[in-house]
Amino acid sequence: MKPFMKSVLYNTILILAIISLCAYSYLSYNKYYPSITALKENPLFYDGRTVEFRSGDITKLNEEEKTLIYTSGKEELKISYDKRFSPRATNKGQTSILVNVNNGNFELADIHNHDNNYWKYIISVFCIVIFIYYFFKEWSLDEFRLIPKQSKSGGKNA
Amino acid sequence: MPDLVSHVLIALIICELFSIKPKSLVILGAILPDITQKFYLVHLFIPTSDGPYWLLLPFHTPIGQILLSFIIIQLFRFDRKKAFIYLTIGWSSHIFADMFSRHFLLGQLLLFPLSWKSFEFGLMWFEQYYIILAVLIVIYLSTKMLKSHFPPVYFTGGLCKNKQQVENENKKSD
Repeated sequence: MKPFMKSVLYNTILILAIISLCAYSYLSYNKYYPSITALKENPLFYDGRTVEFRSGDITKLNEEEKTLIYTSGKEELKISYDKRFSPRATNKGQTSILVNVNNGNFELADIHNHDNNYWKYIISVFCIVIFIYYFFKEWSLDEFRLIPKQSKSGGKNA
Repeated sequence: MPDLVSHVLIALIICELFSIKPKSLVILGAILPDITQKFYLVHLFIPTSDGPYWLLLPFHTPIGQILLSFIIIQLFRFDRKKAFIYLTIGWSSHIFADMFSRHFLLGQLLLFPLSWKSFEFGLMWFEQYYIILAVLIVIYLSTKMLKSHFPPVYFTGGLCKNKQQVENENKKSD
């Protein structure tokens, strides 16, 4: 087999393997870590289980009824809570919640506010700058591949 | 999960301790799990479902990173075995560091797709990233200072030698 065809076959297998993993994760996650939509569609299936949500925040709070609305993306879930908790919306961050599914009702089991967590993402942008600095200090583009800069001057790594 | 700067610092500390060059391959490995998976953060700007998170989750698991590393090493005109090892050091350090974060249920899916069991040490919540960042800055600067005061030690053939000894031997052999 020609080296080019070998390379095409090798990469096709790798890409297909990655796509398969992504598809498996996407199609199976509701069984293990259900989304709000899956939970609302079939609450009895998850009855007795404890589930976690962490990418959303509390958008409505009714202190008289002791209920809250947790919103993650475009999904909303109404959760009841007891006097052990005093839930609040997070300041510049997400809220992690643990919910008990009990006879089709959703009860708050634990809550944590990740205040100021969005700063982390802003700080992380600096890492791209550090990375680009180190990367182009050590590599240069040669046709379609990256070669170590020292190899252009006769280094051993090429 | 620490921030990306912390992951880069961990990679740099590893490079300093083991005199790894080129450093950028280890750094690339260290940020790879996040730059591939964190596209799901688009939900901060556009409301989406949980779908994108789970679709990209395999990129934050060892099996996903192994497959991705096999693809990435082909982009480099460099010793492929070394490139794979350096990338692996990077992403392993990333996943290991993320295991120190605390979550209610979902930590690191180390055995995915064989198992959905979550692993983590759960020492601190992920908004406490600044503690890890501060500690890592101190460790990195200390490592740099120590290396400038003490010559690096090379591990050759089971014998520990310093830079001067290695250079003297090279001169003799020439």
